[in-house]
Amino acid sequence: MSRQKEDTDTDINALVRAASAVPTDETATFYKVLSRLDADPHRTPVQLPSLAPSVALASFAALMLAAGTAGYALPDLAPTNPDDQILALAFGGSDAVRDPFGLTAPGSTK
Amino acid sequence: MSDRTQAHTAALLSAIARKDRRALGELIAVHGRGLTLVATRYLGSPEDADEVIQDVFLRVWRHASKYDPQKARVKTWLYRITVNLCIDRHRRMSLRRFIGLDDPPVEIADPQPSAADRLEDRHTLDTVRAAIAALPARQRMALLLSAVAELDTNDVATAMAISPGAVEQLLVRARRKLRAATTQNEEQTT
Repeated sequence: MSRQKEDTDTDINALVRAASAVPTDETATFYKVLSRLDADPHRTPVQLPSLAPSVALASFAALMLAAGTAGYALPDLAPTNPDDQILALAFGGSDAVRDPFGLTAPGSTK
Repeated sequence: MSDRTQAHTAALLSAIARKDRRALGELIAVHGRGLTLVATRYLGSPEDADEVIQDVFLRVWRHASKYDPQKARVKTWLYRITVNLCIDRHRRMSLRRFIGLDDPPVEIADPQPSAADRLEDRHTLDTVRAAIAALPARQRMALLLSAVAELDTNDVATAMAISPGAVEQLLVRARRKLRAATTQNEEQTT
């Protein structure tokens, strides 16, 4: 490396140093670090949040599965259609609801 | 750094490994300023740099026992941690800026320039700050480690986990751009 290049590199370094000078407070840094150490000395910030959603998701999925199974297992709990209820009132009985005009009733030719 | 200072810093690290808080305070007193200056100028944000430096010393506190004096000097090891955390932070900042959550960094100048700091000097320093901020991230880091942290080429290479040859290339390009910026500034002022 030539002497002149070394000089210009030194000048550039000096300029960078001067341009980078800002006030710093090492005592404040020390106390901030201490307070973080005291707040949670064994902090594991990455693991806890990643576990939390998966536990919640698994609980929710289990609940939905149980509710779905229970729904199919209990036929009386099947939701009723309001239209069926109106037809039942008009024609009487649940068979009338399914076949209001008696087309499939015993004795029907159709 | 002299051998005596290096030995003293290594002793501090051994004490920190034994969870000696006074030793941590002393290590921050010795190296905190240099690390903060590099992080602040690299990230362009004093707040982010402050958080990064806290994270650096928290890592030192937790992993001091893992320091291997055969691999690097304490100072180089500290800058290696700082470089890694700065790169992570810079990526997150870039992403947040890209999706519009953060504003671009503001120009950071020394708020209390000395009495001898003339207007022309201040203008030159502003030009240098803008030129440093405009450098590609790796060139900026290499230049700051060399000029501000005063690490030699091998230590910069260790801190950045690249070869000494790559460091030389980054430094040549960075200095060329800074030289061009300052020359242009001189031509405009004359």
